[in-house]
Amino acid sequence: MSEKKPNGWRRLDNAAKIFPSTSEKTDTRVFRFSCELTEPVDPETLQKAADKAIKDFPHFLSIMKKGWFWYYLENCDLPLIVHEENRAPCSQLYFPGRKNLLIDISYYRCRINLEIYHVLSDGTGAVQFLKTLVCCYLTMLHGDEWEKRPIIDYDASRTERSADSFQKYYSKVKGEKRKRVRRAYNIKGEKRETEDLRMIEGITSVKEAIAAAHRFDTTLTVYLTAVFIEAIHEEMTLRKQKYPLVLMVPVNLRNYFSSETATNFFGMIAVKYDFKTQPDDFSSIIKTVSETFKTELTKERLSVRMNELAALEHNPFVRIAPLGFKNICLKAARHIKDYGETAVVSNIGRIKMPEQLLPYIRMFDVFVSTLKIQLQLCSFEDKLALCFSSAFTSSDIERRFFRKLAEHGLNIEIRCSDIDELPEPPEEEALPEESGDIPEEKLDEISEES
Amino acid sequence: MLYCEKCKVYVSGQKTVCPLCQNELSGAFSPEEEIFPKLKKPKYSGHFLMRLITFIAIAAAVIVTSVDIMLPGNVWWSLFADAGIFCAWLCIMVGIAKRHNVIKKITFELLIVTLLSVLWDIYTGWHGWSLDYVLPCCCVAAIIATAVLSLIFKPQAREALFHLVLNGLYGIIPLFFLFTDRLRIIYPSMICAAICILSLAAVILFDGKRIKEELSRRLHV
Ligand SMILES: [Zn+2]
Repeated sequence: MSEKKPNGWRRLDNAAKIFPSTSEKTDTRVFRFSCELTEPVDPETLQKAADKAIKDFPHFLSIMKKGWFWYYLENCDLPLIVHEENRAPCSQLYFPGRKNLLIDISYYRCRINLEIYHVLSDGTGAVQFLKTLVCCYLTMLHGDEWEKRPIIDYDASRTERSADSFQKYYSKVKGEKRKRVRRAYNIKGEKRETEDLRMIEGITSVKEAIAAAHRFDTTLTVYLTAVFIEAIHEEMTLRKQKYPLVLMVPVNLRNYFSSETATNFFGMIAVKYDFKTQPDDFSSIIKTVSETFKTELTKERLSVRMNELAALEHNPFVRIAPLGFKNICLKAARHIKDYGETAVVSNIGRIKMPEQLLPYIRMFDVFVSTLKIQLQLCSFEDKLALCFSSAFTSSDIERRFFRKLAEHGLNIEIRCSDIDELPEPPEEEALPEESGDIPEEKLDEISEES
Repeated sequence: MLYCEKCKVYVSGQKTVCPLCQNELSGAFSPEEEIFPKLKKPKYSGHFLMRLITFIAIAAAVIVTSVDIMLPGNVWWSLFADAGIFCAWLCIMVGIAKRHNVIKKITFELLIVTLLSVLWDIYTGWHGWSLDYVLPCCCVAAIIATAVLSLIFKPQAREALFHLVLNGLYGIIPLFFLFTDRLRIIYPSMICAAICILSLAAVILFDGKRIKEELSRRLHV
């Protein structure tokens, strides 16, 4: 009930507290989930669906403000307006001092894009919202054809959805000394000049990928992580191999601690591989990765890591430091922490949709802003999307990754956001399409006015 | 769909070379497969206006100073001109930086203008005009402006309320100078303090709950 207060406010959850201070040029801390349908998106229906879906996630309608000690979120009644995609993926959503939503829904051809500022939610929460949105949208269009209404399997009250689960599971850890950040291999390379990231995604079959993983006697996630490690390794110079390669893997804590929150609730584990001491053949990499997953992915280990993170927020000195000072410190801390990380692999997992909707949906994919290179995995039915977001100009790691998969017998379809270096496409191709588009738009305008 | 022989991958969308290895592609493309729209690069760069004004300020200061050096005479009048340019620049910068929040802007400008005028007064041989007139007049102006804005922008009434309290507290400062006998003319300061105390009392008595709420969210630790 307290949700409905027009001017209610909430603290940021524990993981979100560091995001505003550490948002940067390319790392805007925005991530994008897209759903590709089998037919072009109808904007008006999408707007109606968005209005309906947001009612189930009222805490997404918030603006972020600066307090004297922390940022906080304030409920607001700004309208959520669906628009045609007009900005680069994962562009900035939070502008200091401006009153605007931290969530953005756009469409382009058959795709519905949902962009969310990480302060509001993590991947799981965003997927829940996108699923609800797509379900509303398709029901509005095709609802009459089905006998039964599709139901999204997400049973949580509104207070549960906006609850901070970090607080719930926090317990003070006995003064275990924080380990010093060990320098990890940092990918060197020219960063992109423009502020938008380059996105390259490969789409392949889940069955084929699992078959390839089984040939190496392992699971899909371990297999793909190992391929990623090998791809990075091949780009390392011999001199740089003295540093270990460290992949950070976000873990959905809802799988380990019961929670239905749609705000942030994830932890990070590190997968280390040291090419100086460990052999560089593929099966050894797989073995190490799979062992790391086994030891790190237990409730005990995760709760230790979670409490370490939360300890910062519970430290009285940190709490009473003015926000401006906190921002400087958190930014510095982030750069130090970055030295210990090479790249990120994030597995969203399988996205399930009600049966009636399956014929209308082609696939889902996901992109996250980054300062380095990041791989996101997500699957829907038999479509596995391997999405790279990268702040570098070169696409060598992506090339090695996908070539390796192709060598292992996978059929891959590559799609990418535009690369600036490429020459412009021939004019003749673009012209007829555009001239066909304009009258249609004009027609729409006329019909809207009348 | 296009195909890269070297990478052994299919490439969809309208591409001239393989996105992975930049080699030629075989096959025919279909633009319908493009998943990202071709966007024009945004030309607007966020802080262009700030840079422009900064450049103009620097240019003005350089010109004034060099003219002063070239002209005969032993009074460094350009120092005052430079300081004046700097003050104007500072006020404009704050104005631009806080352009999305007019109410906040007033509080910031109040602070800057009063502090700068005290500095001016000190370095021009302390005539007391900054404390006698500028400080109380600015406080009163800020309070009135904030109160009016809170009536115009209803959704921001709570924000305005908070700044009203801040301005009100700031406006009591002249009272301190009054009692420590630093003022030559007491009327503006007395009137300012009276208005501030009255407005503080009104806000706290009639809107105390909202003030408390606003404070709790801004000051939560
Ligand atoms: Zn290629």
